[in-house]
Amino acid sequence: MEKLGINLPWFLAQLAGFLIVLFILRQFAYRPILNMLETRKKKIQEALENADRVRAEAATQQQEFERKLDEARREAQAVAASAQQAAEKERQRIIAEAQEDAEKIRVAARGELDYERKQMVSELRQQVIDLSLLGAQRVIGGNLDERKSRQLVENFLNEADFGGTTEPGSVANRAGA
Amino acid sequence: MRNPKLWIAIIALVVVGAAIKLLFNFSVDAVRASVAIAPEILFNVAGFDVTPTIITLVIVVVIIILLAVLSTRNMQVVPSGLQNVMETAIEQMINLFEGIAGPKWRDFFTIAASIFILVIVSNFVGLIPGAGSIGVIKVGEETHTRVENGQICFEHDGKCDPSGIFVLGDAPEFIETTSLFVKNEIARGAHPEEHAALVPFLRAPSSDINLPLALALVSVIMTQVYGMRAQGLKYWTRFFSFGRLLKGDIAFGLIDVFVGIVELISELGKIIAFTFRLFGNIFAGEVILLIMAFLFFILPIPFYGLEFFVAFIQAFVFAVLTVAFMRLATAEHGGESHEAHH
Amino acid sequence: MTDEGLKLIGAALAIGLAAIGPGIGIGLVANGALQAIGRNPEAAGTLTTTMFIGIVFTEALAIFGLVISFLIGFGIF
Repeated sequence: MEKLGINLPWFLAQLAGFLIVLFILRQFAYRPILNMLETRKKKIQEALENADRVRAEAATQQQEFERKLDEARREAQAVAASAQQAAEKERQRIIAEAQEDAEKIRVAARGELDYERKQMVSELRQQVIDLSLLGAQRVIGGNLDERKSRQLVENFLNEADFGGTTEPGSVANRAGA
Repeated sequence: MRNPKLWIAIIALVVVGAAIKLLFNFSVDAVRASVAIAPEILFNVAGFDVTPTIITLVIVVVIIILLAVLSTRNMQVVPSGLQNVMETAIEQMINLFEGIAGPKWRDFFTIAASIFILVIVSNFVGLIPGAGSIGVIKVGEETHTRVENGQICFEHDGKCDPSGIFVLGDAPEFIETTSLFVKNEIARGAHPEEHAALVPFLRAPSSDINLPLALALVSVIMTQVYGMRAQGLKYWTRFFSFGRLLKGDIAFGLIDVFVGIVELISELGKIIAFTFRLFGNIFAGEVILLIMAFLFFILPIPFYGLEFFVAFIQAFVFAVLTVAFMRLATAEHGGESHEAHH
Repeated sequence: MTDEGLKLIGAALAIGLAAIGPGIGIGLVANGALQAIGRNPEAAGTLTTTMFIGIVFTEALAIFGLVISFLIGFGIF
């Protein structure tokens, strides 16, 4: 034992060293650090729970938000549809009005044209009467009873007119009617 | 190298070494190394023989106290610096012990972790360059060695005053040139090299058999204490089970008694194994480093790395085995509790 | 042969012979542990700890040899 170096004072010195280390470490290292680890664990747990709660809240909020968004979208769609309908109606109305206007203008133009044509036809008739009377006078070489012969030509023309198949005639006829 | 701090450390080490060499008139061709199991006595304080291992133990205890106090002086929830290091170390130990002992780790933690920290710090301090190789020369048991005019002589008659610090070397020729005392000792048949040896200032406390023994005793005794606390007096039936013998069952009773004796011996064997495992590994490591240094100057470097590994492993093993034995002691003894019902 | 010489031979034999068995034993322990880790790498942490405990028990035998060797070599008996 002696030669191995086992010796009571030295042994006690080493043991005292170990016990000092033990108590110092327990007091200054293990206790505070274990407490700190515990605190940290608790804190992390709390933080995780908090995070979970916040996440759940966020999820419900998100759902709410999406629901609202959907609603808004639907509303907007409805508004857009009604607006489109109104616009379509308006368009129809405008088109109809325009067509009506165009019809009116066309009718007016046609009336004027008929009137012109009638006038031209009556003028032409006058001239034909005149020309035919003149020609007949030349052929006969004498004076004709102007009033009587004019009546005659006019009758003839009227007959020819009724028997005519030309377009202006029919138009004049219709206009006259 | 990317790390300038490493270079600063190396340069500082070289400068400090050179300064020590210049300041102290030490001789490199000093003496043989002291390979002694028992630590040598450096000086005596009030009847207490101070050894290098005790000086080193004091340093180790101071280091541990500083570490403990500084790391927890200003505890923060978000750790940084030393606190972080200490917390990481303790958390690793908790994980380790929890893996071995399960939820009971809390009971064993203080002792096992303290053993781990003390052993690892003392092993590492013993590996500081200069520990084991810088010291004073002593001859025999009483005589202090001195340096005079660059020569080593031994103060046996109060003539040589200047003291010297020596570095390990391998030239014991001074013994021939020194004082009459040694010559007389040699003439009387003493082996000179046995009597003149370098006594280092620092030596790993775990290479002094007293520290491993103290730790082993604490570990084994506390194992019994925890066993008794967990199982009550029934724990002692592990060693002294006369129940069946007293009932008249001679054959099984004798077997029980024999098993108890074996358990007792194995408990004793635990003490011896704990003691000599730590002591043997660290002491043998020191001797190996010494021998390698004498063989070739660069040879200790790989063994130095090995010794760092061993230093860690021994601390680890001491703590882990302590926890494992404590768990075995506190666990219900299946067979015996079964017997107790009959 | 002197008593001193015989003692030194005894010391050398003590540690030398005591190292054979644990050498083989530690090899077997490490072999088993490595195979187990290879089969089940997730359990590496537990296995390593257990392996060290096993190694330590095996190594204790060599330590006993070393102690005997010290005792003889340093002239304790």
